[in-house]
Amino acid sequence: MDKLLLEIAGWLGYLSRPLVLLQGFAIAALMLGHHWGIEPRLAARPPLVRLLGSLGLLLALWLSAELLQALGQPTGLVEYAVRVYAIWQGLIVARVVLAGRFGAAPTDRLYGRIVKPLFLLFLAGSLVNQLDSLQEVADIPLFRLFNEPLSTGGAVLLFTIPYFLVVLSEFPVAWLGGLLQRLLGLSQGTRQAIQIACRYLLIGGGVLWVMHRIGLNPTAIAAMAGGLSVGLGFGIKEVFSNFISGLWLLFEGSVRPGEILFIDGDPCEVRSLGLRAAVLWRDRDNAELVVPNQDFFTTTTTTYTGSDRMRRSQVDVSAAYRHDPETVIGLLEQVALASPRVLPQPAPKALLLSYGDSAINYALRYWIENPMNNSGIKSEVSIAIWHRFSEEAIEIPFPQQVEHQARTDQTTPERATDRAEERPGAP
Amino acid sequence: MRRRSGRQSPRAPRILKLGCTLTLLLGLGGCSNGFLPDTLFIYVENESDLSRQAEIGDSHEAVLQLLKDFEQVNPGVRIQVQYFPSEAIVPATALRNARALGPDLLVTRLFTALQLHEQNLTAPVSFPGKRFDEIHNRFLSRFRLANNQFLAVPLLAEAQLACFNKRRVPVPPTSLDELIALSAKGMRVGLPLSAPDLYWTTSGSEAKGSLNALLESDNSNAAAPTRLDAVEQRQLRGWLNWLDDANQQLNVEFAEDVIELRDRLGKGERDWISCHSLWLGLLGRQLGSSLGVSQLPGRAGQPATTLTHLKVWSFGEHSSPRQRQLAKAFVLFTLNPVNQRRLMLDVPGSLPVNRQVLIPTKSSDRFAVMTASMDNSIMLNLRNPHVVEQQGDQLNDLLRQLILGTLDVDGVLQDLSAPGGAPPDPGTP
Repeated sequence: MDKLLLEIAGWLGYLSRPLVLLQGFAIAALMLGHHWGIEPRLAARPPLVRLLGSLGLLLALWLSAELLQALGQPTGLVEYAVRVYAIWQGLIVARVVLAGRFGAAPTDRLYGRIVKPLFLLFLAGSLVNQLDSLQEVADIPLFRLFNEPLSTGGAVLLFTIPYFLVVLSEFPVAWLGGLLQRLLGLSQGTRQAIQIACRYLLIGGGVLWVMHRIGLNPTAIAAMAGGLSVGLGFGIKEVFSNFISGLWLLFEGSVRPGEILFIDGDPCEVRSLGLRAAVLWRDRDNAELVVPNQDFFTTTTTTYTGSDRMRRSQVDVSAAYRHDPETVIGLLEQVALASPRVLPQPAPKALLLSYGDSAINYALRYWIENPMNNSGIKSEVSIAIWHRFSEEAIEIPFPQQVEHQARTDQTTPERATDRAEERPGAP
Repeated sequence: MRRRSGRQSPRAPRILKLGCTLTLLLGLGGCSNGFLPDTLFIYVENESDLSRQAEIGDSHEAVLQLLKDFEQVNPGVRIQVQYFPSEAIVPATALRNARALGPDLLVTRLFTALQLHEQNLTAPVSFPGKRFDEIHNRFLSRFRLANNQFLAVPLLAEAQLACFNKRRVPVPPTSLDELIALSAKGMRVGLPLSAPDLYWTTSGSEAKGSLNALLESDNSNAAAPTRLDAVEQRQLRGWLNWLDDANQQLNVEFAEDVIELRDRLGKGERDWISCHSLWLGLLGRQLGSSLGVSQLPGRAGQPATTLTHLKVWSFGEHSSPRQRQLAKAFVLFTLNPVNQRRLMLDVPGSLPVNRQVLIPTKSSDRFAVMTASMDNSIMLNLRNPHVVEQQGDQLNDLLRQLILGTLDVDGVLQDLSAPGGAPPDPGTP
């Protein structure tokens, strides 16, 4: 580490050269002047005007390089600044174009996670290459890792490659998943499972390659694996258990992104299956539930999307004894068929369930396409029943209770009252 | 007024920041002896175009010790060294010079130093007084410019030798004919495949002058191409015939990468090679007492004439006054008798350029051979390095074709006389 710091400190020696300072002043003055003088004035203007402002800076930098060249002075640093700034402006323009084509959110995500880090890496590497030999700086040993010297380049690889593997693997894997889905006619869930499994493989392989590339010998890796196994037995047992559970669930297919599961009485959609936990979305209150993967192993899971995505729903309703049950059943089935979001096939089915104290109890069973819409469709069907019953003068009776009070000294039979509760609005 | 002052107030910190930044930059720039480190940037040319091994070979420690000693006597000075392969050092220097980030000093071969000077990538320097009185004039004279300036300064001399395995070759050949004869008896010979490294083989056919003329002729002028006269043609033919004969020998092998020759001798796959004195350290460790060293064979028992190999210092173009002062001090530090002697002993295969250093020729056969080879060497008059490079590349290409059998001696001579002509027919015997 000391050697690297000394190397970096040594670069300051270039600042004692007047021609380096001259170029540095030209770049700094133009950049700072633009940042503090021009940018605030253009902040509220349209993007095109702001772009013109940036192009003005680019032009100013280029002119300063030309001026220095005319004076017979080195201009390489200014030209380097021109190139780097031009690339950055190119990326900004590309961002606007991409946002118009694919939307702001995915473009922001692409830039935040990939483009900006890559540009930063490029900038750091090219800057070092201006001052020193990138190869030799990369070869400077930093410290020992598992008894092997870790070079600066190795450390950079160790931190950047896994990051870019995680971030970039998303795209080729999504392409592969889409291709396989088209070729083999896979379901969305299977596609997701294949994508996640491929991603894990890619990341795992990449990490092993990095370890090999930076010179960690197999013995050290084996020692690390041994240490991990002890760690697994004690500290990170749960983490590892969740990880294995997640992989298992992916291949088993019971919990995959896009599946609808019944959690605590509510249907929830699986949004993602991570290394440790699955993230589920609950429609009722727009909540996201983070459920450890191993919970799906130890508890019964109810899914509506195991073999298909249809769900059979049911509305319970009562009708007075005086109405013909067959008429009521027919009406109920008609109501269900008339509901736009109830599937015609399998056909809705109404049943007489039981004879209640004050009414005959019926059930209307019907199928819906998306389990997540159950509550809304149930409400629609119930309202439609109410209207239809109202039109057909079918009474939904409310329970009636007759209280008889024994006569005592304080009361007379005339004071005894029959009390009934009425539900307002009942047909 | 209130509104105006309100408008100005957010700008005040900005102007303050700008002022502070500029002050900091000015401070950094103006106080080179203050908190800015005194850094000396040195570029070193590697040994082979095809190898990343440093020119100083396996003597890294000796050089690092030299740097440490200098840093010790100049507290606060830090020396940063970067290594470049031969083919990269000139472009790399040009690239960094274009940014004013070039080196303060360069350690290169003589030819590279001349190329750098020709392209104005290095600066001539003058040393006051008689600082170089102790330096061999035959090394120094080539670098002397007008006004007592030097385009480069010699650091160390190296010799071209014959290295062999004494168990297989008890008595080394003293002439080119003996070399061929020995190879016919089963001695495995390794020769380099480049015109400068094969220069010593011209001794047998007295083609030195012709080759010099050929290398230094500017054939880029198509209107006036080089004409080889009959004598030169005859001499060159003799030389090419010898190379062709050698190539026909079962036990003679030409190698494009000279490092390969060294490695093969070290592994016992060759018995005799044309070698460079810098390899002696490594070969000594590999072969031990079996390593034999002699002068390269010439004609009629006379040793061959070799090219003088020098490591030279060149000075960077954009050094600050302080860096130039330190660079000069460091160069003089490396040239003083104590350090020249230390380099001679610690960097195997090096000879001092300082006359005051006594070379142990009586106690060491290797130093005796190296000194003799050096005394028997000549320095080409490389007035136009780019011409020599172009001619050398063309000659190397033709030699390669000769060795591979795609061109015969007549074809090589024809191409040398008519450069830039049509490529030879591959079917030509």
